[in-house]
Amino acid sequence: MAEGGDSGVKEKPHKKELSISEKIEKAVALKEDGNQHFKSGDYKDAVKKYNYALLYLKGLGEDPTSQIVPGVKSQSLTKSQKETRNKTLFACYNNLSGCMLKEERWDRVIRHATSALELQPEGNSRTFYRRGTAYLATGNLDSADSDLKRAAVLSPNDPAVNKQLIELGEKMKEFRKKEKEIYSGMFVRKNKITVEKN
Amino acid sequence: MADLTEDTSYCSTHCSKCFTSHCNDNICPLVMCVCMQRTHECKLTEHKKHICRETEVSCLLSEIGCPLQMKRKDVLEHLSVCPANTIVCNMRRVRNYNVKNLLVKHLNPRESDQIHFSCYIHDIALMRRMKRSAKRIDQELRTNPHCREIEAMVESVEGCDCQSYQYRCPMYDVQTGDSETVISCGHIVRREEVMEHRLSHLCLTEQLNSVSCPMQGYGCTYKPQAIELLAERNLCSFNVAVCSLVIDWNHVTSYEVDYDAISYLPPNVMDNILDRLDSLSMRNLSCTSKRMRELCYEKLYRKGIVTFEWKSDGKGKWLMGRMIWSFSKASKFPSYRTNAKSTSDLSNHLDNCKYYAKERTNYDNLPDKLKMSCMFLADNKV
Amino acid sequence: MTEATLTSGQIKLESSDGETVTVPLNVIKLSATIKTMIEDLGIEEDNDDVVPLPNVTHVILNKVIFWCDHHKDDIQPSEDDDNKEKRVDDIDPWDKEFLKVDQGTLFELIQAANYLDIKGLLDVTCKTVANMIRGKTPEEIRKTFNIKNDFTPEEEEQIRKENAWCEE
Repeated sequence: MAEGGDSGVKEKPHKKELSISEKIEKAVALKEDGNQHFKSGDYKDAVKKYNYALLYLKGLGEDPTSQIVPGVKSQSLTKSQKETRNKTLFACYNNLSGCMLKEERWDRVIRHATSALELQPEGNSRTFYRRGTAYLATGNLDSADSDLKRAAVLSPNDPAVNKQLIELGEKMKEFRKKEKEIYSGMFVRKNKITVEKN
Repeated sequence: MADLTEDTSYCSTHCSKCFTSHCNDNICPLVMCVCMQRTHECKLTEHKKHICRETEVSCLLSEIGCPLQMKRKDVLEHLSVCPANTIVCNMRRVRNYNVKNLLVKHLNPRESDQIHFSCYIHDIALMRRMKRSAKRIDQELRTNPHCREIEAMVESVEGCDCQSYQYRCPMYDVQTGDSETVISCGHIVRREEVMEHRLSHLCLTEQLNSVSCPMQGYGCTYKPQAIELLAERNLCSFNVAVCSLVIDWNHVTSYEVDYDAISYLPPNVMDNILDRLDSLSMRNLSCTSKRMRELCYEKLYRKGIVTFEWKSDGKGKWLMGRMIWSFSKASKFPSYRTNAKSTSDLSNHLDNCKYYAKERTNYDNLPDKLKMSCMFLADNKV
Repeated sequence: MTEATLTSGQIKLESSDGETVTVPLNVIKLSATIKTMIEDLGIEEDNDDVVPLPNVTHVILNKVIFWCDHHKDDIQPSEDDDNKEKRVDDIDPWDKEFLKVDQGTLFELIQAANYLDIKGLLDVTCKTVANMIRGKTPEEIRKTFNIKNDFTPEEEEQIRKENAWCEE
């Protein structure tokens, strides 16, 4: 059976596979690169670096027991390696959501922020702020409320968070007003019927 | 908020009888529950406790072992997969033995004959284990010149590992009469497994007892050898180690491997695999190693069964004892039954069965309408 | 990034052992990991970036690409299908043939499918492993997968008798 499709350019394998610590190192370096790009406003490059970092970290050391199996490369991570891996994964997802926020791609902000929170449910204020803002922009007021409030707790007096909270407040007022109109209309009609019966 | 101390009489006279969701009174106003239903404020607590579909409640079967909590609206859906929702299979079959015939076939065996014989051996072992005896069967056996041989085989079955993939359940309840043996199943299975489990009885019972030609009463001795089809297609075989019929699932040859990869798969992958296993496979897998046992343990709520022991209080009453979680012995069956060949065997035979006299009716004297329908029926063998 | 862009264009992937391969986007889009990344980035035509895949070897990567190429026009199952009953008896013949490999390769394919988040490949490989478990006694399962029996004889006897977990 054929090995693979004929998918174009191929170079002969020449690289030795990286060890676990080397992969983690590379991932951290890529994340740092990403951070540099982010600071300078090169969001596209930042996104690329963060994504590449994720590719180094995903699937690393996933064996649940930490036995070393003869014949299979040792897959287990040391405690400090695990910590670094988890921290870096979180940072990449968190910062990716930041990049998406700059580009106002709300659904992707939510997606990446949620991935970050799956890793670290306590998150940090940036994560909740970014996701809350995206929820607000897409009209999901309840989720926006819960996220922005958490952001406020984690980072009190943050002007950016406060700005979003104010906007959320306005949007909710508007929504309630509309809701009242709908319901009050209903009650008025019902009242009419009751009166007529009597 | 209504001042209830003053107006308790109001609530007990008005609210207790008022169920409209549009009541306009101001004394005890309507409030909306999270479930979107409106009720008088004084009744909200009761509503949430007994009626509200969004309230978390225990499973209906919590008293017989199910520990799960869910929203009231999800209880019905949960019941169909509840581990406490178990059924005892009462499928029964009758076995008529003629050991002489079986032995003759066994000594000149084809695969299917071996299977019939091995079932005979196994049934005897089963009866011995259940401490029942069938006079006729025992008598036949005693007077048979090959008795010792057969007894030896029976002994070897009695010592066998009951977790092997046998087509029948070891927990038979055996009732014996003089000329026949009635064996009933007694397996405990999950409700969602019971259809498949019953099907497996029908499949194999049908194969082993063989549906005979409907003209048997007139003297036809034809039996469609469906069991041969199974053996022929390598779907079942006779496993010497357990002296029993074994259904072969392995359509793909497994290569040997010199290291254990399966124990080191990521949790989401193991989930994917375990979710596809039937109960018997979960049971067997949980016996292989500590890690596998742990993984299977985590699936008990979704794929296992919970039963309980009865314990005597010493004074003649029985009390519920400890809860026991396990996997049932029900298994999925291969879908060979849909193979047209096995059913067409009998119908092919019927075309040629000399006992099946096809009458040629003279239709000419019938009124036209009737003529048409009779001819249609005859042509289509309805 | 529209679906349309995903039907044209190519991407360069580099395996853990240094082999670079160019793959059409409409083939590799079956990998949710790579698809998400492409959508994040917005791949332009003629871009020379090489995406590193340090957790897949070139042998397995080629096999994965081969599988994706065959399945590139499949209808992608919706989220709903996840809740449907999980089956094992519906592996199509091409996949069956594709998976006639030694166990080592099978498990590497599983790891790769998980790494690259290719649902179809992960499902079919898991179905295959499930089929390898079914119909076997515990001893046969151990033998097939080389699982070490780490129960004490007493534990094993207890399990064999009851095979149950009891609550007091």
